[in-house]
Amino acid sequence: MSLNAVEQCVFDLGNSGRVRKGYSAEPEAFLARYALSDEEKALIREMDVAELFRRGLNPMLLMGFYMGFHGPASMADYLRKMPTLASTLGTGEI
Amino acid sequence: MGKIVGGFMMPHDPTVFINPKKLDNSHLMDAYAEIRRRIVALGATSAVIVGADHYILFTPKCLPQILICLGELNGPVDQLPGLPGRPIPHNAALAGYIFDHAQDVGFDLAVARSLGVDHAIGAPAHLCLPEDGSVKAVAVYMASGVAPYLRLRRAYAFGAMVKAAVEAANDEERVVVLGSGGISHWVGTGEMGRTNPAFDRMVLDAIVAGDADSLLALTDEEILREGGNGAMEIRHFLAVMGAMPGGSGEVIAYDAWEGAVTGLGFAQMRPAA
Repeated sequence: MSLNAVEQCVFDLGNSGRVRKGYSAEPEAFLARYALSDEEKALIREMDVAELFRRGLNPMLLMGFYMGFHGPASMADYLRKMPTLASTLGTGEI
Repeated sequence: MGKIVGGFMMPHDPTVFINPKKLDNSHLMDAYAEIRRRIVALGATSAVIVGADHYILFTPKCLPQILICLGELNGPVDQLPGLPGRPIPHNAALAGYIFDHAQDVGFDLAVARSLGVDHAIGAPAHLCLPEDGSVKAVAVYMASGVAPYLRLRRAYAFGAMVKAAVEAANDEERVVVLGSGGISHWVGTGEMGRTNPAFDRMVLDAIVAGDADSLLALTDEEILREGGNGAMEIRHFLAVMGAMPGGSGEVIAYDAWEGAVTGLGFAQMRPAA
């Protein structure tokens, strides 16, 4: 699990419309620039924010990532997908 | 020598300003204005504002534990209604002095030469400091929004270091320390929208009593469980308390306002007599 590379990729996609445009044009070429496993690429491609959160990605980052692609009206949809913070505690991975 | 003349805590929840439910938020804007009035009444010349990056300014490539800006400020870069991005009057001399003092006492700080701040610094800078620029800002960011989080004790020690630096300065600065942060709030997790007034009250009671120890005794997991990931911002309150050991506080306003997603606390800390 290369969590840090996943986080960098999600950060880049969440913070720049220009980057998102490049990703949308050639997703595989874009993802190939990062040190990601095939499984991690799939999580990003599918925007599986719930699993990315369970694996330790910052939820503020995931919110920006999701809404960057789906627009500000997608907040409710995003939150429906997200696990609670409480469900991730007690694992020693704060 | 300079002097710490007071401290204030206030939220920076964007939904207060976006106000998506179109509710009356005047009592909250009044609380910001009351802090501004009190800062003016204290004769403050500078404000050290402590906030958290929300993964807007810093990237996974560089996540400072504590960062101080030595030069020009502008923002907020994430503009909000009533908070347009613009230059923020800053005190480069005081920022440099605090940085030098920190170096002397073994407190390593990351620096920005200039900084476009986000709403964590932008909201208090615009709403709590006089519009005439007579109180100049020093911006400090702590790792409160993105792991690895700053240790609570380090946040408190930072406030104590700022106090020592200000008092060792040769000029007559009258400094307020502003801790910008919400109390309970969950940002981007399934609980988002929930607040925990009991946790909020515990934090505010500690501020009123000047009881930093009860906050310092919390574990990160306790804060995350009871107050949410946003409550990690109590580090900024501890920085204020660290600058005023033996001081006591007053709650200016509190509301777990249904228009926002945060337990919204406004408070003042007064230095020990």
